[in-house]
Amino acid sequence: MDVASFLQQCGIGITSGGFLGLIAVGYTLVYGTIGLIHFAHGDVVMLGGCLSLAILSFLVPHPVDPLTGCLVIFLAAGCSGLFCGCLNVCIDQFVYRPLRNAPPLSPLVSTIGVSFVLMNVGLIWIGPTDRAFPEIFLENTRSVGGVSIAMADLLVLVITVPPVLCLYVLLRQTRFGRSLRSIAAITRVTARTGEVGKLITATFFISGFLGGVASVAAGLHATTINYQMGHQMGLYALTAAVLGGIGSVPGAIVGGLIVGLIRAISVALLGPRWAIASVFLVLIIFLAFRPQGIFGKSKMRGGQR
Amino acid sequence: MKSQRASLSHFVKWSKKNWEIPVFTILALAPWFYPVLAGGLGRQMTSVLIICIAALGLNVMVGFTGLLHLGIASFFGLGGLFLAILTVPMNPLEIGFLPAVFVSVGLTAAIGTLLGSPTLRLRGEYLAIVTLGFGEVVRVLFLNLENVTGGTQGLGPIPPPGSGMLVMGIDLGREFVVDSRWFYYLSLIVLFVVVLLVRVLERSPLGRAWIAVREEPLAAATIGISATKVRLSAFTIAAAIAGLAGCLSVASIGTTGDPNAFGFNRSVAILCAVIIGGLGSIPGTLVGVTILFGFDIVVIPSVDSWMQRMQGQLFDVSIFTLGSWRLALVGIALIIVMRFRPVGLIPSRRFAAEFQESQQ
Amino acid sequence: MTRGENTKTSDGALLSTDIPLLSIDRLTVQLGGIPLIDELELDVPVGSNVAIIDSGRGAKAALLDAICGLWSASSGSVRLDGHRLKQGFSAKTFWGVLFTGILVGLLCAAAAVDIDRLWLAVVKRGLVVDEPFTPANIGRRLRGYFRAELAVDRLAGNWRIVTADGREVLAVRRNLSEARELRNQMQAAVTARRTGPGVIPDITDLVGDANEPQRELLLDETTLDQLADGKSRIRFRGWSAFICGFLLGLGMSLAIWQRGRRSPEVAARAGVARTFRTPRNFPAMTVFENILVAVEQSVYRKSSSLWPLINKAHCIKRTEELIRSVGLADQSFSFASDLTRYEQRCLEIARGLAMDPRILLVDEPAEGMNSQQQHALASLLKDVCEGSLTLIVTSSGCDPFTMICDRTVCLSPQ
Repeated sequence: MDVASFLQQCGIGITSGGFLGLIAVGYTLVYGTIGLIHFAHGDVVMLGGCLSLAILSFLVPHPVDPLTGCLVIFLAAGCSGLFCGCLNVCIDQFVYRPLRNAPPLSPLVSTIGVSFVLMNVGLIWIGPTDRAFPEIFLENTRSVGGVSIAMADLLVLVITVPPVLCLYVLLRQTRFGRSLRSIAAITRVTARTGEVGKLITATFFISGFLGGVASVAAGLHATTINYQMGHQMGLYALTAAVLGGIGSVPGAIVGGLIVGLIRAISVALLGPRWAIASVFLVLIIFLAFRPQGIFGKSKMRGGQR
Repeated sequence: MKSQRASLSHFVKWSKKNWEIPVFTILALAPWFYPVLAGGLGRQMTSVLIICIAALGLNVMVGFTGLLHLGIASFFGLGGLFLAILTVPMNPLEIGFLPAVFVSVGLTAAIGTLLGSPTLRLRGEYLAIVTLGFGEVVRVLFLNLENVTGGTQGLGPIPPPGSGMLVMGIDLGREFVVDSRWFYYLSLIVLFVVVLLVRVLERSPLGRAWIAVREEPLAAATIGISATKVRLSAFTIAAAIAGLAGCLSVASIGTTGDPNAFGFNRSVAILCAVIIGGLGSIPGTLVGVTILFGFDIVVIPSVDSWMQRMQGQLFDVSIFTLGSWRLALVGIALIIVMRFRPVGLIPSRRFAAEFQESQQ
Repeated sequence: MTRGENTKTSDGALLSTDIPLLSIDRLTVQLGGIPLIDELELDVPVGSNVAIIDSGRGAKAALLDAICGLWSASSGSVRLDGHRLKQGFSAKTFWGVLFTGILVGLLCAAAAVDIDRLWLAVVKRGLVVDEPFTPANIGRRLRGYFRAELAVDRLAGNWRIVTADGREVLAVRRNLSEARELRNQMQAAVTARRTGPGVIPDITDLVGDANEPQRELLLDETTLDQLADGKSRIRFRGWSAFICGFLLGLGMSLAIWQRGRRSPEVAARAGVARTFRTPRNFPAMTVFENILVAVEQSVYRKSSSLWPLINKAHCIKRTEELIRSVGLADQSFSFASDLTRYEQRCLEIARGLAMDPRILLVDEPAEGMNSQQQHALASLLKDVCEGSLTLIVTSSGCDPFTMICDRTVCLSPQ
């Protein structure tokens, strides 16, 4: 593997890491507030992908020039973000909310149930086979110093970076963000009070919105989507969230980038069939050395104080 | 009249306590009264019974020790794969069925220990992801090591148990192939033994240590229970039981089949069955598996074929078959059960008490 | 300090009140950079009852946590009988670490030399040429694989001469003996190339391909070089992967061991029992079982036999004794979650005693109880600590529990 192709793989890794990070933020936010691994998140993202596929194939049946393409993509990302956000909020309201005080594994089963339902919806919506994402640009790749960059990948970066920055500002600078970070510990007790309830709803909306944006990026990057995409992406993103330390937002993004890089490099070195195995092997080895993940807080007194 | 009622209530009480005796008697007698069980339905029932065994193994881990395990199907698959490697005529080993079962259960348990020892100090969610990842790694290995595992086709044909053995003039191997009742009984016996084993384990000092670690890890540590060792034992036992189930499954089907069947979906389905049945409760696990997998394996195909026979034209469209809504039906069932019975259908006494305390 | 003589105290005769059972030396515990406990010095002699008083809540709990290993101190040490409450690097640990290292190394090596191809070469190819599956044959095939020797394989009725990993087909023959002959000659050429310049053998009478007679034999200079190179390549790959994996395994197991060294169970085994401020019992177990677990653990530890072999009757007898001693006899089959605060506290103390501890740490027993219960509990504690059992009680002020103590330590400086 020479330098140019290595750089190329790194580029692919970073772009895919970008949207994996966004999805991972969704997992991490929900986990951080109500302590639940939201297994259906990947499938919410998949449905967002279905919607953006419908929008894009309706608006751009033929390739267009970059500016229009960008606008259309932003539109699609916004729509699917809103859709996923609302979907996520609905799921929370109707399924998880009654279970706030149930034993910890019960909501988990509900998330799995929701995931099955959503997967089935996706199956009915786009059918059992791969569906190609429409070509949007006239010019597909551009070569910079021997490294060819796909336009779609550039666009992925363009649409994944702003949400991350917004999220950063939201969490760091606003009252909402501060209260979001402080409720994690008390949720189980006070879930029924209004303030916390609103915060949880907002969390679900944000995580869904980011997932929806990521779904467009994922579709552009992979050029196809299918109804099992959610499961695949969910696995990678969950790994990213855990690698970064579940509950930590910067951890999720860094974890996403790392997972994306590992995946791209292992695809280049060993072939695509070993990608998922190498990602998980790295995770297992890493957790042996640092069991709380990169940014996770180390446990104190067995996790509860 | 009164004495009759008294004896009836006595019987109900007795069978609540010793529920396995009537249940297993009914299951054992069923093939005589319901001859359909000798055919395809019997095969489907057998696979439900086998999944019950694997679910009991998972119950040791999730129910008794309280660790979330999302990779049980990989151990199920590993057990089957080892059995296949040891017995198929393609490979030169070809040791008999029984020794192969012992060896493959041992190997599966060893692999469980190996995976568990570096990871069992992890917090719950982290452990869940590691087991999930292990499941995926195993699936990918199955798919890619084509010379060892046979890739997507799987290894086969696996000689049935007791092939070439003549007992009272009956060729056992042939009987196992011809009549599905043989496997039905084999699975039933193994299931019975596993139920007893899990019961004994639950009431042993080790079982108490499991429950102590689940309920109050700090207090358990301060009385000298090493959480890691105790969890490791549960992990190993779960792996071994799942491996045993895998052996049976592979032997009854005759090949290891598509490795994708040992992936995340199967693991999660077994986990869901355990949880909707009631964590830590043996009858609950059996009921959960019967409902979830019985619906998936037995009900859906038969309803679909029945609908097809009724009106061939209309139900040709895939949207109108039950099969294409299978996932959604299972999903809705899971959501509803959890909504109205968050502790499961038949919660164990202990778990109910623990839940009650956390509610206060 | 004079720690040397303390190591002899195991025979019990040397135990005297002037040698401290628990000695805390310059202990500092921090929470987020703020010291909760700063350079604490405390010696607790055997059989004494010590009350630790502090108005705040954090420092007392932190001290008890540091003693029983739930929380690691940032500096300083806690010693029981002159031993630090840490797991030592025993022979068992050494073998465990070494075993893990070798195992991970082997796994890595297996991945590096391509276990799939190895299986093909050793098992499958043996079946193809109908060789019996004996250890000698397996050994020969294994050696052949690692020396990157050529091999004979069959596909669709033809015999093929392939490289060890079966990737490249060098020639195809219809006849097995002919193929073997050709393979031997080619192998000889490869071996010659490995040691010296070697020459391409004169195998003109065998040249050609069974199916395509016009095709030339694939054994020119570059192929020969590649084949000769294969041996060092596979060995390099295997050994480097083994060494990397070995180091990785060592690192992993050492990291895990290091993390688990100062765990509460180590302290518990050394004889430190504790109770918590809010009682932590096993809610879904009966009172009887709650204590039975602890009794079984201590019996199991002492007897060092297997689980099923511990003396059941003895355990049950001891449990009943303990339940009676704390006055829970009529509650013994109700769930721990149904008990009152006072009873839970008693249960916790009984559970601690079940381990036959040398030192009992009781964290704020006064909390959540009326004065009558406080007095009852204090007299209970006094009773159980009659002998050589050492007691450390924390408290936020003067209460019945400080009365039963013969020494009071105030944590806050005022």
